[in-house]
Amino acid sequence: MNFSFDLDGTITKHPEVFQALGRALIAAGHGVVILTGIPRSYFDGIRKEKYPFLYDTSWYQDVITSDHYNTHEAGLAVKVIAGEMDNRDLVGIYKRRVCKERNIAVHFDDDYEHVFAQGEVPVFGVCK
Amino acid sequence: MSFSFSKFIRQGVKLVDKFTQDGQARITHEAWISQDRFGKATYASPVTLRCVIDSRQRIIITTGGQSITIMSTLTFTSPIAPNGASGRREPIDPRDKITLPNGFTGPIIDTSAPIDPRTGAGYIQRIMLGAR
Repeated sequence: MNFSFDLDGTITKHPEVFQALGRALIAAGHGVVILTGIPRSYFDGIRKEKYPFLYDTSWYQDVITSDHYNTHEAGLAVKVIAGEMDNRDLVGIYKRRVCKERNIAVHFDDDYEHVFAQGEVPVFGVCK
Repeated sequence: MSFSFSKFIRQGVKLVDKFTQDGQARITHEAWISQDRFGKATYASPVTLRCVIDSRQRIIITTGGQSITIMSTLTFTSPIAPNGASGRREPIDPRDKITLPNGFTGPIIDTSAPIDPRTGAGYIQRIMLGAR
């Protein structure tokens, strides 16, 4: 089975726990990816400083950033810029699609309401 | 399903415990309980614990610049009962003996268990075993 972890507010709040969870899942034969709503260029720029726990790559297999927005999501991004849509709703649409496409069985996220409240993927999350 | 963050972590660990059951192995834990004046250690009776064994070897660099080979990383997704002997670090002390199913028993290089503020126990326990 495949699992995904959100980065900001989830892994960043307890990196040691998610490192241990990821390593255990991979050792048991599952897939683990990090799924974040931030773009790759921003992520690469702050990775070393903000996410030092990612240096050890033994507990995850990929980092999926929002450069993977499809045409529909890129179109909605215009609404976010214009203030007509909450960015968290856009991130939620994007993450739900990625989970479906990548066959993610369970996603861990701190923004349950915006990201997965209406999604099809089982989610563990925190209501803000 | 939504929770407070600490409950979210506890439930997440339980979930991972469930999904790793088939991959969990039984290891033997002998808790260090004392040391005589000649330096000979005494251990509690061996107990069996279940954990996921990651046998990918890694090299870690200590803060002193020393490189150490990690032979196995063990992750315990269910609680480990403390031994209770005085002077121990609970539930795993670096002086404890861990024996894997293949008979390997390397020194405990590092242990970590991020603490759950509600229970005071670790959410999850990780042990790194080095080479003999």
